[in-house]
Parts: sequence; C-alpha cells; structure tokens
Amino acid sequence: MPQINASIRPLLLAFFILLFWPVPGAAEDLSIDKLSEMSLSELMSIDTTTAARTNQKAFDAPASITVITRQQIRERGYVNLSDLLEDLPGIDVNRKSAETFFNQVAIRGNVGNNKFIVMQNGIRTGSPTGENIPIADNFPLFHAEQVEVIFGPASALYGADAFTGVVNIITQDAKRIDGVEVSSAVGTDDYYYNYLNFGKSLTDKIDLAVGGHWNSSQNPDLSKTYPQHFGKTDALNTDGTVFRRAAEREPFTAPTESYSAYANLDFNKKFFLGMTESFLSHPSTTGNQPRNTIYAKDAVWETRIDSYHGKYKADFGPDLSGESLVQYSVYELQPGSGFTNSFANFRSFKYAKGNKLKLEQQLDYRMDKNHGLIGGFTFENFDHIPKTPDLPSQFDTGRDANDQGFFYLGTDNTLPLKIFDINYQNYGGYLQAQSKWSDWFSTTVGLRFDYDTRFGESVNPRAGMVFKPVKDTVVKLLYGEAFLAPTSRISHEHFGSFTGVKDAQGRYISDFFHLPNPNLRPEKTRTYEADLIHNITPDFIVSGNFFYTQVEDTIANVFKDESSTFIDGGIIRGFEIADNIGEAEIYGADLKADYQTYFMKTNLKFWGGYSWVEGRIKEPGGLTGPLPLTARNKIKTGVTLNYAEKYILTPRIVWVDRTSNFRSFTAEKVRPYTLVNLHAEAKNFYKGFSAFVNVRNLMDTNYFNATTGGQTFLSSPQDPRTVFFGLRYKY
Amino acid sequence: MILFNIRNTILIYAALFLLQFVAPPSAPAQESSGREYAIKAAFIYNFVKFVKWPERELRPSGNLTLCVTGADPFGPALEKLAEKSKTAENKLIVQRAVNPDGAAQCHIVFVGGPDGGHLERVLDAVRGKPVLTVGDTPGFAHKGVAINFFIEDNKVRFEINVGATRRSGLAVSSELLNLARIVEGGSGK
Repeated sequence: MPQINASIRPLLLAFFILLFWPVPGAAEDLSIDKLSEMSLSELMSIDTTTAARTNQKAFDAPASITVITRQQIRERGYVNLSDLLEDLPGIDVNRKSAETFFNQVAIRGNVGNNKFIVMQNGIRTGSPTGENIPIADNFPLFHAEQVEVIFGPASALYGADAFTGVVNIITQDAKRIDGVEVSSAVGTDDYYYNYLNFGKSLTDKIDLAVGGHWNSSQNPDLSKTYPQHFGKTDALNTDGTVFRRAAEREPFTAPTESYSAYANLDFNKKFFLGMTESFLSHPSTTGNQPRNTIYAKDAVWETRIDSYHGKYKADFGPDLSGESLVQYSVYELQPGSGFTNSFANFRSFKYAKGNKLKLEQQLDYRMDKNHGLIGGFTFENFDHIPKTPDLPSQFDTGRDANDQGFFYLGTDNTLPLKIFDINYQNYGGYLQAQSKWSDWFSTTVGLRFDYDTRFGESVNPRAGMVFKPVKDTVVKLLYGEAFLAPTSRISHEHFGSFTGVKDAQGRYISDFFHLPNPNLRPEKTRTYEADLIHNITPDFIVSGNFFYTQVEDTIANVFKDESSTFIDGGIIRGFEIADNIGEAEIYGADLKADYQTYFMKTNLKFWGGYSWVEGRIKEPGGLTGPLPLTARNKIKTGVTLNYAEKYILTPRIVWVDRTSNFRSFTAEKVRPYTLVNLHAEAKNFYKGFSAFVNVRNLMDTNYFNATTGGQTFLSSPQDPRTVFFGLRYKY
Repeated sequence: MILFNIRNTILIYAALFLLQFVAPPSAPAQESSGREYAIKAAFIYNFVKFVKWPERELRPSGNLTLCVTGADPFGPALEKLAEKSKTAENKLIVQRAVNPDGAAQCHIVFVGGPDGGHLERVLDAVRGKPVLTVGDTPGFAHKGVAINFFIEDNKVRFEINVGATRRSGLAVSSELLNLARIVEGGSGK
C-alpha cells in the first residue's frame, strides 16, 4: 500500500463513506405510478436515461471508456476539454505548465499532450504531425453532444499516437440543434467568451450544423497574487549580466485568445463533408521566472489547426458496409510565435508547419448477429517543417524554408540556418474481430500493422474480454499496445549558437548544440487492465479498475561529449541528442461512483473518483525517478443540484496530491492542493434565455501545478479566483 | 530489456483466441428505452388535463380512447396508466396496432415510428376531427402532428402545432402552450 499523505486521509475516508453509504429508496427505478402523479414541469425535469444507461457504452465496450454527456457538460460548466479532463479520475491536468504547450495532460501517469489522440466525430483534430500542442480553449465543448474518453493504448484501431488514450468529441446532430444557440460571457480580467451554434435540416435529406467560438482574456495578474514569485527583479542574460534592471521592469502580462469553427454537412446519412479550425494564442512566458523572461504582450505562442474531410458510407448488402474517408489537415505555429526569455536573447521567433493527407477505407462485415469483423487500411502522406531554431525575425511564409536568409548566431552571418522540410508516409492495415458468445461473455481481438517510411514497421495488437456474470455487473479484462511515432519536431529539432571564434581550420566554434537524430524509433507501450462496473441500482453505479503499463524506448535527451560537424563551416564541441534510452513501469487504480436521485422537484447527481498511480521512469545514466507531472493520489468529486430543470448548481472539488516535476533530481515537489469550482445556472428563465455564472478557484486558494522546469518555475503559480457571467439564447 | 516478453505475449494471445470458442453463441439480450417511454406516457396522461374535447365526443361514457398506430414503444406503461385512470374523470382506454385509416375513432393517436406514408394516412383520417395526434419523430409537428415529443439535454420536451390543434377543434390550455415549443406547418385542407 502506498504511503498516503496524512492531510488526505479524512478526504479519502469521506469519499469511501459516500461511496458505500446505504441509499434508501434508490433500489427501484421511477415507476409509472410515480410518474403519473407528477406535474408537467416535474416531468420535464426528469432525465430520460438512468445513470446506468448514460454509461451503457462504458458498460458494454471492450475498453475502459468514460462518457461525459452534453447534459453533464452543461450542468458542470465545462467550457473546454481541459476543464473536462481535469475532473476525470486517472488524469492530471497541470495548467500553465509549459511555454509551448501551456497545459500538460498526463493520462494514467504518462504525461504528454501528444500521447493521446483528440478527435471530433472520429476525425483527428489534433496536430496532424504529432506535435505537442496545447489542450485548452482551442478544444471547446459548446457543440458537444458527448465526449468519450478511452483510457489505455489503442493503436490497434487508431494507429500511431493513441498511446495513453483517445478523446472523441461528438458534436450535436443538426436535427438535435434545430435552430440557433448563441451565448456571450464576460468575466474578471477582461474575460470574454462568445459562441454561436446552428443546426437545421435544409431539406429532407440534407442537414447542416455550423458553429464557432471566440474568446479572449487578459488573465489574472499573478504578480499581485504571488508577489514573492513575480516581484520586480533584474532580468539576466545567460552569462549572468543584467538585461533589464528591476527598477525598469515591465508589468506582468499573460493574455490568451482562442477561436474555433466547425461545419458538418450530412447528405442523407451517406455522404458527409466537414471542417474544423482551432486557434490558441497563449503566452510563451507561461510559468517563466521573472529573472529569465520579459513579460511582453507579443511573447505569444500561436497554434492553429485546420482540418477538412469527406466521408462516404456505403452498404454492399445486409451484412457488409464500408466507410471511405479523405482528410486533409494542417498544423501551423504562426510566424509571430516566439520567446522573450534569456535563452532567446530576450527576442526570437519560431515557426513550424505540418500537413497530412489521409485516405482510409474501412469495411464492417457482420458474420451473424453475434460476430463481426472490422478491417481497413490507411495511407497518410505528411509534409513537415519541424519547429525551427530560434529565428531573429519572423519566418516568411511566402518563401521556401531554406530561402529565409537566416544565419546561426555567432557566425557573422556566414553559416546559413538549416530549416528542414520533411516528407514521409505511413501505410496501415487493421483487422478486429468482435464476438458475442453469450449474454454474459464477449470478446474483441484486433491487430494493426503500420509501416512508416522513417522508422519502419509497427505491429500493435489488442484483446479484450467482457464478462457479465450477473445482470448489472460487468468485468473486463483488457490488453493493448501502442506506439508513439517520433515527431519530426523531436527527431529534427536543433538549436544552439556559436561563440564567434574560429578554430585553426577556420571553422566557427560552438560549445553546445542540441542536434537532430533522424534515427529515432517509436516509443512503445503495453497495458494490462481489469475493470469492474456494478450498477447497484439503475441510478447508482460503482466502478473500479486496475492497470499495469510498461513503456519502452522512451525518448530523452542525452549529452554526447564529442565533436560534431553537423553544420558546415562549424565545429560543435559538445552536443545533446534525443534518443530512445528510457523505459517506465506504471501501475494504478481508479475507483468511481455515480449516483442520482429525485426529491422535491430536484434531481441530485453525485459523482466521485479516486485515483492512485505509482511508477518509475528510468532516465539516462540508469537513474530512476518518479512519474513526472503525475500525482500519486487524486480525488475528483462534485454534486449537481437541478431544481425542476430551472435552477442548476454544481460545486466541483479536485484534490491533487504532491506532484513531481520533470526535474526529478530536485527536492522541490509541487505541494498538494484542493481546488473548488462552481457553476450555477438559471435555465430558460425568459423566452429561451438562460443565465449562468462560473467560478474557478472559489476558495481563492494559492496553489501550484507542476512544470517542465528549465526557464520555468518548478511549481507554476496558478490563477486566483476567476468569475464569469453569461447569457445563452436558444431559438 | 525488462519489459517485453514475447513468449508471454504469444501465450496471452493464444488463450484469448481459444476463449472465443469456449462458449457457444446465443442471442443478445434486448436493450430497453423503457424509462423514456414511461415518461412520455406520463406526459400523455397529463395532456388530457390540458386539452378539451367537444362535449359530444366524450359522451356517453366519458372515456378517452388512446390509440397507438405503427410500432408501439411504450411497453406496459400505457396499460398501467389505463388502470390508474379508472378512478379519474376520464377513463383511458388503450388500443394498440390501430389501422391508420381508422384513427378517427380515437381521441388521442400516438403515431409511432418514422414512417412518413403511415403518418399521411393518419392525418388524412383525422383531418377536421377532434383527435389529438401525438408523435415523437423529428419533423412530425411541422407535418401536422399536434404534439410531438423531442429530447433536449436528456429531458423530454414537446412541441405543439397550434394550427393543427385549432383545425381539429381541440381547445388547448395556455398552461400547456407555455411549456411547449410552438411550431407551424401541415396542411389545413
């Protein structure tokens, strides 16, 4: 049994008491007798599905799935994907955690925003080239019908990068929207959030759904909340000299901005056209210490991803159907992105761009009513300009990557900067057999083969058994493997500078560079898992799982004390490269409970989850360390009170244990914290108008999240209480 | 290499594969959306209190006939309501699998399923007659069904085609209209 911090024992105790407290009256579903005595307004407040039915997919699927419905998203006030993930057991969301990808998400102890796939309606909407991108307001939920989160490796179906999980945001059907919904919210620190969502059947056979959001915020002035962290101090160059004196320091600033758009056009449920667009601008000074950085308004990191797809569903008979997909998606780190920190001499720019063309054909063969086969093949073509070295001015998108006129620092503008433009392909084929052998036993066995022109073959199996020993209980035994393709950003990234001095052979000397390693192999993982779900009543569900994960060939930087002539005309006397040198072992368990009941026109819904995760990563030199950006213990809980479908109140509580950062050799760990968030809403209070208020960090606690380290604080100070009010109108 | 053991992996696959053949196949259990239709049945039971039929239509028994055409998704809910209505002012008589062309004999008709041709026949049969048509298929209210259920945020909602109720000579209370989404459409021919 792991050591449990004394401060959480009462919380744990309370949680388990709640979990197993006898629930009088909950043993039977709503009877027709009770329903017939209700008024119309009371009937209008009752959910059409029980908690058990809401979780039907989680119950039946041969995977560990959590489904969050539109109703839950609304009642709990989730605005974007990071809000939702933060409330799920088994997930760590560390906010303001990294300069380039902002919030960092760890699923079951394995951190990395690029290690799980984000999809919208089954189409990947994350980076097409596997970049580590922010998970924040660029993934909004205003249009979501439900969000499905699959835990564990899933490359057997989804291919590369379904390493720790898959998140699928399923948008509302046009018929379900049937009109227009607009919303506008305003809050503290100049927070604005607006969205519009439209859906309509244009004809009997054509449905259209379109929507978009726009948001901006100045965000809290952390120098007021954390004066000890953000007090005026000298900004120092890397050599220790003063770049800007404390008396001349600029005010703290950290604005964010985001927008998104989507469109789905559905022709007779056969042919679909769709697009998504997402943009996020966040400070590239995120988590930075004032001695290392200048808090400038133009110190931004701007991520934009566009995706377009066409899908055709064909029936080749009663037992065979097919689905053809064409997708083109582009990721671009906007040219204005860059750093104002000491490593960048307080002003530099970065650029990256990746695009993917994907063709996929899937066939679904129903052998009989209990046995089915799904198979398919994919072809993907990638073009990638990996993240450039620091640029003295913005990348000119109108010119070729190698015709930008940039030179390495310290070479008197003589050694031209290498900017890579890489083309590669991936070919994949997969087959999965699903069989229902009896009412109590079903199996899934699948295998996927991928060939990537950079690193070769990957074979990933999955297998699952689902037992229903009694009517309301399911036991799942799951096994899955996955691979994380080394993105060209990692394999081709290089940065560093020259001293300005030449050696005897006339070569510019550099003491240090981070150099590319195009021979990187994929990281690999496998997970063994057992799940148990039990419906005590249709409205009271408890579930738990235990998992054991192995990871190998993890990529980490290693220093090479040798020379390199990677850059023509230069000599690099010491360098580091990324290499497949690490491995990890992770195991843990989640316990969850969902309960709902009705009393006095009020629908009460409780949810709670406890997660425990443990493990070690093996680092260069044989050192081992704790799992970075992962807390050993977490409790996520909340309760929704819905009075007659008119007034909604949802307090949510997240408790996170001590968390390690990436610098495992440091003594500093992020201290435990409790975060209370609140959502309240007056629904349809006047002719289609609803009003809501969202409070984050209700108790105004000073707390910290774990970071990558380096230029940043090891414990990144988090926002004080923030509030926004909004109106929503549906017609 | 501490992690991957090929022999164990093959053994696990083999075991899983063999397990597929251990248990004989049998029919899958039926899923039910009983709760949703129990709620809808309770709504229909409530509608009776807010809709006024011409006096002559209820004589001599005061009974109300609730018919279901097409697929019946209610299960035993309607029977239970009928049983409960025995002590109410208007006793509910449930008739299932009613021929669409005979729908005019009913006071309330629930038009089940998404069958457009079937709907046309029901609407033709009840045109100008004091019959409350009820459905739960998207677009039915626009086509002339008086009350049509839909689901919003996991709750049952309903829309009322005011023109359809007016043409059928039914008086619908403002209390019911206030809770409904009002739509137009359908033929008044």
